[in-house]
Amino acid sequence: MSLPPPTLPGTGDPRVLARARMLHLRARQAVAGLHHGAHASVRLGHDAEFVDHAPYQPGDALRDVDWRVLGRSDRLVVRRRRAERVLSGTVVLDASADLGSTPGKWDHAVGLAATLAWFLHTVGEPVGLEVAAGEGVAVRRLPARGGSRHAALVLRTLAAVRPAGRASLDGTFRAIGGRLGARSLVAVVGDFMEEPDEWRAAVHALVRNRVDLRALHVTDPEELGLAFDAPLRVRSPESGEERPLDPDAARTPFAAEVQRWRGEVRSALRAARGVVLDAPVGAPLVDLLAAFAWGGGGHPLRNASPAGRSA
Amino acid sequence: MNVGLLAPAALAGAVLLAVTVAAHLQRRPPRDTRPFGAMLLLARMTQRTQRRTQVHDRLLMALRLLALALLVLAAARPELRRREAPATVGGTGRVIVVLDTSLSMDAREGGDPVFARARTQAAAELRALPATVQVAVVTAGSPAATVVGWTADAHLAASHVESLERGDVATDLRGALVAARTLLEGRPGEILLYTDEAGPGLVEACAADLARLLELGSAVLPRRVRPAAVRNVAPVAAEYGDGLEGGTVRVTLANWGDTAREVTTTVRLPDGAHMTAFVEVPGADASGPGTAEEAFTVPRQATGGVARVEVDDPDLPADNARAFHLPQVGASRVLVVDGDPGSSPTRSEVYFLERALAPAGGAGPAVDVVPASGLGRLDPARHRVVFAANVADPGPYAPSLLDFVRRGGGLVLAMGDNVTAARWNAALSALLPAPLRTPRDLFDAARAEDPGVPLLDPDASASELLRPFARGGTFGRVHARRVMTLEPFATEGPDAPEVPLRWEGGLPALVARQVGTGRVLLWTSTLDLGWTNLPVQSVYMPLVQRLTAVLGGQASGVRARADGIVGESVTVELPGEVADVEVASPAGALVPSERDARRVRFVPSAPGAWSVRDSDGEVFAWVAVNTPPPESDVRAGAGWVEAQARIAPERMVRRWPLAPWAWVAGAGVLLMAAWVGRGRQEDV
Repeated sequence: MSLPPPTLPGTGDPRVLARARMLHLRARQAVAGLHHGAHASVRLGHDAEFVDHAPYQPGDALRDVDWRVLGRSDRLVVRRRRAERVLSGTVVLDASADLGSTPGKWDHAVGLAATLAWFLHTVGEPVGLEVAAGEGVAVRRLPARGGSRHAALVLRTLAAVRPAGRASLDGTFRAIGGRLGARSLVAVVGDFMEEPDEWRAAVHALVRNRVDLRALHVTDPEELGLAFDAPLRVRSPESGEERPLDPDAARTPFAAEVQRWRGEVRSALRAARGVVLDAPVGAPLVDLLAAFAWGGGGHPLRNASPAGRSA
Repeated sequence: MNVGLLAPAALAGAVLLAVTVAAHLQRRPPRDTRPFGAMLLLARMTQRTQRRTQVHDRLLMALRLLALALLVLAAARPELRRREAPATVGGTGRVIVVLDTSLSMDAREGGDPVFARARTQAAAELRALPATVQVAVVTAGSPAATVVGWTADAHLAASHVESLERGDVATDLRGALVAARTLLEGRPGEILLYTDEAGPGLVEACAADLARLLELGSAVLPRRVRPAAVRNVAPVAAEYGDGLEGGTVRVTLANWGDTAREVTTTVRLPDGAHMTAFVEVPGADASGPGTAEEAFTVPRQATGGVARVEVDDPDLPADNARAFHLPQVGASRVLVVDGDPGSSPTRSEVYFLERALAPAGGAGPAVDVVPASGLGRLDPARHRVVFAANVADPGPYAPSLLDFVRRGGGLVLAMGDNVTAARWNAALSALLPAPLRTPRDLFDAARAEDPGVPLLDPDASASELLRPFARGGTFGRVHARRVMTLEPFATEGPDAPEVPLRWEGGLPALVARQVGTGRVLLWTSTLDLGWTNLPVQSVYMPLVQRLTAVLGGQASGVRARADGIVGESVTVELPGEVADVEVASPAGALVPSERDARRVRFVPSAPGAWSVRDSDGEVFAWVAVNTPPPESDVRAGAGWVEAQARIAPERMVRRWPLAPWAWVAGAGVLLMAAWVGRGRQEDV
């Protein structure tokens, strides 16, 4: 698939276009890796109408077993269904300045967001984009739509955005919750570097609207591991605050703090029935995409053919 | 105890401390600044560990600083210094033992007086001196005295010390220092001062003499001997409230101890009677000793003399008693001589007087009413006041009256129609304040209702006789229609009569004269309603009572009273020419005295009732002798070491050098701890 020409103002920047192509390439490779051996598209819809029966195989959900057929014919079959309506997916990218504290972290986050968007597009779902904070783009929100042109627009927007400012997760979650309909999928890509207590309530409100929330927690292991050689001053890209840091002295307590914070983030998201996926810099996109597609449940491709399955 | 430095210049090394502080504050400065996306976590971690890290950092810095400080101090060679007398004695070759033999050395600890301990210690220290040292012994009880002159035989001097006894005298440390300085004759020496250092101001009073001794190169080495606890209760004042018919003894007790005490207090009268009470005396505070007052009621009849108040205080028994004068109370009578008995009691010359003296049928003084011829019944041993009212001829009784007054009796002479000036002047010239002249009428005969001349309100505060009327009297309502005039007399001079009351116009109404130790009062009008309305005025009874109280209270059968302090000279005025005078101690022993024509002087050696008498045993004067009041204050005064340190500080310092290796070792330990602490901090 070739990338359509840019249609948004300000996206004619050759560097942005090049970056968009690279994102497209990476996304295609990841999605292709995910589909290797599946020979069918993947649909992530929950609600579907009955199509036919298939023999039961280990791993199939018991709820799909057709107990009446079993009672009449002594055959163990599962009911296969077709999605009744399209599931819209929205990729939320945290483009706050903290994501740009290391080049690898930002590239990883953008690449991951592009991969998710392309994946949703390839499985036939409408895809939208929400950019929290950041700069370099005039439009921060693209509603979920289908079609290659829209998918290309999403990729170009991702290519154009640069990390800047401070993203309020609380405000972002509330804004998304107010716009999305029920049974939407929201994929959040970010570092979640805010006090969980500040956005916990907003996440709960979002999930109460039956939104399928999947968070990809982007971290830079080198940064969180304080991989510095000597004492230094560190500066927050968001607030500009500076602090002295003795990495040797702080490494152990900082690691404990990181662990504690990870736990708090997971706890907050899981309490809202969200799925949390660690996405450290350097982790293969395909693996992350697979975990995303599984959504914490069974393999998404197992029962996908011909019309996909509910997650 | 304080710390000094032998090499204070080494303290300049303290600059290292500042360097250490700077190094601590500047350690491992960050050279680089990088963006950091997890500032939130860093802030959370810092908040969580900041307190622990700060404490650790400060402890680390404190350890380093302390270690450096120890090293600097080690270089400065510290030593402990304590203000103290030199430990060794005899270095000058001359040692004078001064032993405080004053009353306060009777303070007890464990039942034994500290004086005994001081005496034993002084003797032991004398015996321990090298044989080459010359010794002398001086006592510091007033007056200070050299009891052993310079001798090389310290054992002999020690024996003398062991034979010394304490007296009930004041401390004379200044005299002792003067005696010591006299002995030293300008050469240096060491004065071992065995004293309790009790009482305020003793050391300060010796400052000049102490300075002179120090100038000579001498030193006073105090050997403080005193009980661990400050405890003493003593009577400090006792006074009998005057009154013919008994009264009260007000006793003041003082407590120099820190805590309140209840003491048994007994007042012993000269006739052997005694009254006991338990008195709670508060403890001393910064303002002074705690004091308490107690009143003891004296029986209606008591022999005059010197009484004692005693407290039961085992801590300092020597000052447990205080002597005080007690006038004869109640035992004698008032003799009223009625010069004109009249046809009925109410017409009697002394009808009003008798009732004024005993208004409640015997509640007042006992009154003997006799006619003029009854003056022969005057008994100086019984009667203390005589009222002679309108006596026609006192001639036959004049000698006995004169003797009575001279011995302290009180005589009140009142006029009347029977009085003949010539006879009175002839018979009583030695007693009358002024010769009588003639009666004079003071009323207008034409006016039947003319009450006569009123009394002038007196200046009551100026007269001891009328002092109770200072708050107000009604003398102005007293009128006289007739008075006896007097020959002119001088009112100035040592023996001049006093005129406490005058009639309007200036004529004397009441004239007083001292005769010997007794007193004569001349009332120029009558004591009945014959010449004046005084008997029916409200002031009559209190005036009569007051005159009786004053005259009777003074009459205790002796001619003089005096107070004295043990060890201090007492002078007693003699009543006229007395051939032989003796001074007797409370135990009855005769003691030496000096006398001239009108005085006798002696130094009492013990507290109690001393008497001055003639060879027949007739007592002229009682002397109440007490212990020196400052000796009762057993609170610790200023120290001798401190006093000398103010004058010559270098003489009164003992030094203990502190080994430098100990400081270095301490610094090493601290540095080790700092190193370990640094490692632990990095672990955190």
